[in-house]
Amino acid sequence: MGFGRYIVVRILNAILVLVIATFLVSLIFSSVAEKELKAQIEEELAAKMKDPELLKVFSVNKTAREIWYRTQKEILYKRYGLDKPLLERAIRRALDQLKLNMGKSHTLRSATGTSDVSRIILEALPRTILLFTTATIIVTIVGLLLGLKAAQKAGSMLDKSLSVFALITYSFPMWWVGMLLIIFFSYYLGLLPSGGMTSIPPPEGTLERLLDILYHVVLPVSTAVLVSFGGWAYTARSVVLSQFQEDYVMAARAKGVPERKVLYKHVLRASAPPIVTMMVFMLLGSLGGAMISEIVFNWPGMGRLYWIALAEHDVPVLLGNTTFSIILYQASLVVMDLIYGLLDPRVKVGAQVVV
Amino acid sequence: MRWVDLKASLSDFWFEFRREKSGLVGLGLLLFFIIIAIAAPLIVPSEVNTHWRDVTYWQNLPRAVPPEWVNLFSAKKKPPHAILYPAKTDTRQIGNIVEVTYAFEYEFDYDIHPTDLMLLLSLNVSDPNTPPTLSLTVTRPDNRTIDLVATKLAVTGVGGQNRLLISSLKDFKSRLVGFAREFESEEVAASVEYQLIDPLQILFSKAQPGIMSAEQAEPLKGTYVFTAKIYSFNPQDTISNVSLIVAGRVYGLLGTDTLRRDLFAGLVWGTRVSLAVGIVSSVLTTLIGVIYGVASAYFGGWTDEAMQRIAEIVASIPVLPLLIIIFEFYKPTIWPVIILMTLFSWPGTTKVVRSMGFQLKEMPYVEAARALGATGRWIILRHMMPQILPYVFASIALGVPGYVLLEAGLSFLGLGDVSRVTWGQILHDAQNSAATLHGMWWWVIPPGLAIALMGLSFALIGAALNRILSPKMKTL
Repeated sequence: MGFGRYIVVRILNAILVLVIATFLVSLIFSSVAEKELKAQIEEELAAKMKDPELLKVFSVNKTAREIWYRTQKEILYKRYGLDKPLLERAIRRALDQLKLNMGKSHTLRSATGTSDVSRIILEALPRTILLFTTATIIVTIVGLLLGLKAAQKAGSMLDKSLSVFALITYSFPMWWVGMLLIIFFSYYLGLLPSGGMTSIPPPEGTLERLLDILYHVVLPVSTAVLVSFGGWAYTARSVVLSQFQEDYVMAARAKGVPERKVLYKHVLRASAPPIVTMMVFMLLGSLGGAMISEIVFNWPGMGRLYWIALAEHDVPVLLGNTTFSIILYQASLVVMDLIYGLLDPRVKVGAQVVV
Repeated sequence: MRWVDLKASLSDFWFEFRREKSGLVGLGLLLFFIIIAIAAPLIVPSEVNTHWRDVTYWQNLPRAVPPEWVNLFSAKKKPPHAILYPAKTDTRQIGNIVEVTYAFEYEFDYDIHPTDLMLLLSLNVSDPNTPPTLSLTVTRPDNRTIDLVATKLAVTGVGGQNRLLISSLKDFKSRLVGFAREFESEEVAASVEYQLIDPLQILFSKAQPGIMSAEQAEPLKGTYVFTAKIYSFNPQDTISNVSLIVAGRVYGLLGTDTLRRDLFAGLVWGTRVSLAVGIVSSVLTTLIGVIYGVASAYFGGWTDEAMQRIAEIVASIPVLPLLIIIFEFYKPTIWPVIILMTLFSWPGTTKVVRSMGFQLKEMPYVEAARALGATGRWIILRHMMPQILPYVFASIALGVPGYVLLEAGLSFLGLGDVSRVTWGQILHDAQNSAATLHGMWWWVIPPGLAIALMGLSFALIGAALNRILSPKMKTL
């Protein structure tokens, strides 16, 4: 089984999970929406029945009233799809969601003013990705370098303080750290903006605009980096240290290979796959935290969209946002699998049980 | 396993654990949280939990003020919140009229005046046409006396119980401003805008020029005596629960939020939810994960393959978005919250347990048991599980922070159990009121720190357990 086949299997797996999760969400939604819709229909019919023309007819004929009521109800049930069984409605809704045919929002609008749910979310998605990937890249580099240094000097001050730092930040809510940084850097020092993606109004010119976004990105990205890099460094350190005990390291050292080369050429190469494996979980774990952090920083991404949609009870947006989150999550998984496959020469589906 | 063996292994374990300093720190922290959680009703009134969202319950506290101990770090001493009860009560009968006098003493020894003055009383009036009247005067340390208010106690309905609130801001501002005008030059008095005058500043400032200006007024320290006289014209009228509230600029151990809630009380009660959710969810997920993993390893072959596929699918379902949808629709209380959280996060432990199970399965004593005709369930429970148990404890401890964080995150989004106070909800309200932008650190720091410390205590214990129980980790 080659690399191509491995990737295809991983993608298929991601799609399978996507379908299952979307179906689950649709099922939950359909079962709840049923009650609300039925109540809504009852109300609608009760309002219609107050029509004087109808009342005149009903006063003559009692059964006409019942027949009218029943047929109207059937028409409305059919229009809302309530005549179909729950399972069918859920499947239909799941398919709609997967086709990104997510309907109209109740109250939320996109920046361009449309109420099309998938448009609203597609507007927010790149901003979340921008924030998250920037943070991830920085965390990876800082974490790896620190982890390697710590492993090289196991038991040193750096190593010990790194372990302590990792342990402490392990249980920090990322969004709370964001709040603290806002109070400190924005309220007390006035150095950085407290939120938003651009100044209001945004400056003219492309370069100025980019710099403005950069200025606004500093605090949210620092938050993510501050909370995550300790854990990453600690993971990298543990993996590298366990590699140091392998025979090939001893052989390389005995041959007289310089220590730097042992670390970067031999050990790092061999440690890369397990490091990636462990980091998949950390990365995906921090995705949720990063999305909640957006709220704190008023960053107009998917997390803040959740916040607004929850406050406004805008169900179509909530549903669409969840579908997109699942897609984003699966896509990140596939990317990580891809990196894993590139790094681990033994890649074969089934053989790699560690993921 | 016999009781003696259990005792011996426990004491062995404790002997090893005692040498793990960080583990002991974690254990100490955890004990602290457990004590707080159990003693919550003793530390703060238990109504806090049920009345957290009840605005009237908190109306007597000051709004959004920092904790009292900020006075230690600032040169200007701020007055704490004070609820005064009458030092003296005198009753006199003048013909048909009953005069009750309540005297309150307030010791003012601060550099800034309080924010508000409120007289609270419960009133039961028999005839609304002749309601009781109230006069409130104050004698300042400089022996000047100011009539603050003289008013009929407005009553709605006959025989109705009323809780009246007379507040400085609306009821006695004009008299205080009149008092201050005597000491200011005319042009100054004319130039000051009435709307911008703080009546309390006049009340608690020295009677000299500058009394009306926020910058020049000097605080007048000493004992203030407030005298409230209530005249009732019907003998059936009852007046009770008279108190005078001096709304301070600092309050309690952790201050208050914009809804006047005591944040310390919320923090104490929030411990219960976090601790319960964290521990119960972690125990449940680990148990499910362990049983699933051992079974998967024991059966092997196609069953194992299928079980691992399922676990992998569940593992790659994103928990947070799914829970957001479920919580928004079903508004669960605390126990469903726990169950829902475990439902999507059990696969974590499965993998490690499964690989351990594969090793154990090949052990001679398991083979022997099988040869003796033991059933699968027997072997899993009696022979494999005890070996895996140590790992289970470590992974329970290490799992707790994740659930504490997840619950806090959901609460922060405004989801979760709304009938209780949680740390995440306190932060949710802080975010909603833009506490960060107003620098209200006393609202933001404590709940988050509590979340972090609770997580830390379990992480420390888990790491220590890991070092003791799996010798391989020792070398790392």
